[in-house]
Amino acid sequence: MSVWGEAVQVFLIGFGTVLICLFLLQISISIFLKIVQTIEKKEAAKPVSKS
Amino acid sequence: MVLLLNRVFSGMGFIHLTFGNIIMWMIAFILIYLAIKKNYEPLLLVPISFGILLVNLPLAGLMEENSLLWVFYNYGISQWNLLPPLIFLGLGAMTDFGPLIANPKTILLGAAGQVGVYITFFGALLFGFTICEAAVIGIIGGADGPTTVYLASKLAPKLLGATSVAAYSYMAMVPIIQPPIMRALTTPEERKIRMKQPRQVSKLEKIGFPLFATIIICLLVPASAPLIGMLMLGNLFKECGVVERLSKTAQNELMNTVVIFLGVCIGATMPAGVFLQQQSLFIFFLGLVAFAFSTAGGIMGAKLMNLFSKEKINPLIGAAGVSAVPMAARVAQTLAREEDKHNFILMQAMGPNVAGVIGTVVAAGLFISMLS
Repeated sequence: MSVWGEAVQVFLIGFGTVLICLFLLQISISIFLKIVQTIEKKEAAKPVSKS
Repeated sequence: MVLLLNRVFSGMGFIHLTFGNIIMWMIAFILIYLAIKKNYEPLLLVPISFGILLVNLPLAGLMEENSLLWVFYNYGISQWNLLPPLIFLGLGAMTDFGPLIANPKTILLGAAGQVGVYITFFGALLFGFTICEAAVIGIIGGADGPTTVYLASKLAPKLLGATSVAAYSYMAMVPIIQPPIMRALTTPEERKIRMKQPRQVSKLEKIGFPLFATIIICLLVPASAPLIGMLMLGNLFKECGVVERLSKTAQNELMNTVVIFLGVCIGATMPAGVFLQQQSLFIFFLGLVAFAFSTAGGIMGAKLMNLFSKEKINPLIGAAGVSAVPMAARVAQTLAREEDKHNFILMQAMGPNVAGVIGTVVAAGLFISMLS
């Protein structure tokens, strides 16, 4: 394969994966943060123990 | 007697001094001037420029096998590649991911900020560089010094000096390079867009982020694990609140020690014979192109996001997607305030700014896994 052919492949796979990777990171972090916020809300709603 | 004198004189550096050595001294002096007088990345440019000076002293042989700088370089960068991940440990301990956690969609601007990396990758091929060299030159656009060093040492060690100096120099010149591009690509109305202040991020979120991000990123791009792993470990030190000593050490003593070795090592890779070539000039030019396109990519990415989201974002924060923490975010804030004195977007710009670091590491990891 020519250098340019390889370069186009590196570009498509490289930049495509960077975009997909950060997109997935964004989605998964959003989900993770939702879970954390739910846990924190539940913790806050728990009655405070008198002891 | 004459023989002895002859031996002493022929052993002096003066006789072996070349024109190239003197030019490299000049470059070292210019960098020292910029660092001391203009305050351009002094923590790095001072050791780098002194390394340049040392390696261009004839007969000193500091980069010959088993000599001082060779040992620093060989174990710090070339063979063990230890210094860039340690820098990332310190960076992690100094970084607040709060703005990114508060607004996770700004991660996408960190991806858009990598456009310049790939455009310059093609540009470098046009200039006759090999595919591995082109990748290293492209990564300058990520505006992340340690990542540039790390990638260069893996793919094109010959270019380590020029690419690292270009990356650090342009990082220092962010306030000069970025504003004209930012003004050209945004309207005054866009620059006036006000953004909601980011929400308060809880401690649990801050502790969970480095753990979660490490798992996700390292599963997607395992080659980025040394840098991302250390970055997130440093951040966990900072956020968990129970290892303050480790956090302080990573931020101060360790970071400072590593910066000294890294700077001197980078300078040591620039003897006249290697650096004074046409390709170094090309690298500096292409580095600037990479920077400019990355800035433009971030701004256009922000504009694109505005087309699909109800809550408009100020496109200036996209320019912070090039990393260069926190300088790029400060530049975005300065330009926003030029249009509207009461517009504060610094915290919002910090989101894409730290996302840019992650984006550059991911891009570098992909280059390594595809090309090494």
